[in-house]
Amino acid sequence: VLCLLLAFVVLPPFVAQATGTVVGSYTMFNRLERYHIELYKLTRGGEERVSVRSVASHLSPQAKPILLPADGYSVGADQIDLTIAGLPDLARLLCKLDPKATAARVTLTRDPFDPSEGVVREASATCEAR
Amino acid sequence: MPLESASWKARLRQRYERSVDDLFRGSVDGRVYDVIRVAIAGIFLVRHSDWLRAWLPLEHHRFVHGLLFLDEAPLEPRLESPLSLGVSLSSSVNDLLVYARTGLALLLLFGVRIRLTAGALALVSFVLLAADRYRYYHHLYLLYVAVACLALIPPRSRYSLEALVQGLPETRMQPLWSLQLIRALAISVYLAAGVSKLDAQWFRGEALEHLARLHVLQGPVFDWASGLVGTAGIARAACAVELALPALLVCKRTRSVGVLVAWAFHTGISLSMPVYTFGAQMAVLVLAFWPRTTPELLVAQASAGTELGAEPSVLAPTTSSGLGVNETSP
Repeated sequence: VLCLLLAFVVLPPFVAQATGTVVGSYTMFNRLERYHIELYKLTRGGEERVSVRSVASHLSPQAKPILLPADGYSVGADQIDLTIAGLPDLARLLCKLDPKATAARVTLTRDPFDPSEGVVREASATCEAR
Repeated sequence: MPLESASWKARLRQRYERSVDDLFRGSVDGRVYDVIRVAIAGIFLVRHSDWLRAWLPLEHHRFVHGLLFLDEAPLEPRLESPLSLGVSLSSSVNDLLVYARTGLALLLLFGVRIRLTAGALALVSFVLLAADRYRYYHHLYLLYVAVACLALIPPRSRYSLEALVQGLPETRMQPLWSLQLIRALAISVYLAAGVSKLDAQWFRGEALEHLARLHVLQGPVFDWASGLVGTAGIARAACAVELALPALLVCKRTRSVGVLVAWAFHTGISLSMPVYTFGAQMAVLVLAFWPRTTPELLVAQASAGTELGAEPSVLAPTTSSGLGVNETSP
């Protein structure tokens, strides 16, 4: 039992790092990156860009400092990985905010301060008809 | 041949059991548990509230007004983005848990049903953290893991409300095993942080340069160090310290030096960048390495009525556990 407890205490950060998970990895500012978020909604009129600032009042106080500066370019570390995993949630929020939207799309671009090394991650959602 | 194999397995098993015994057997002055419990509970309350705002301005006071995560529900429809468990909390359940969290932290501070309180506090805290991915910070996660470790410390404390009501526990010495887990937690944090920095970008000091450019990293300690060795030098030194600390803390001879190096390291970091309560948390966790430990037999004699105030080191040579171990290493 004690060995199991020891494993529970010691191993999680290494398992997290090996699997690329941020939670419990204790990576502490090891890799800073620049990131930028773009939100789009699809209506009958076509695809329309939505500014991140326009959804600010629907974000928690913890989400605001991470998402709002990313309308332009923001700098972060582990929070970028957390945000990437939550992109589908952002797309679903766009659907909820506009009953006329048929689909929503969110992109996050990250790079280590060198645009040539930029990586784009995208998530989309199909909006339920209301 | 099967007999040989069986004896080989038996020897291996014996060696394994002996190693586990060496690791966890022993006793320690129970006051270390009280200090760690009170400090972690205190840090927890400070980090999750703005109660010190009038006396001590802290980084989190910029966005914590009252209790952290309380009454923060944004306009509906709100962004629901749970970190895990798959569900967000309704605002009423969220606020209820925040009040429960505060009450449990106070109970832990005053030492009421320590194990139960710490376990419940860790659970409630993790649920609140899991409800919104943007709540995640390494130092909060570490704080909750540390609280979870407190659910395993000896339940009877000399410095608690319970001791006032029920009387002092009969022995000052307490089992060592739960302190070993706290030590292991501190070591794993240093190792994980150090290993994650074994990266060319980090070694070039780029991350630190960006942090300095953003004015996240600043102050006299950083200015002095960067003038001395540059950002690349600081980056390499930080990684080296994080990887060296586990060795310093594990080795009995260098343990005290390790604790002092760790405190100096965290003081330097806390003076140079906003790491919230992380430095204080680690300073408390490494405190687990400070007290001397003694073999388990001492506790057995003590609870059987031996003079408890006697210096353990005086008794240690005559109370060998039979394993040739008078002091237990993590």
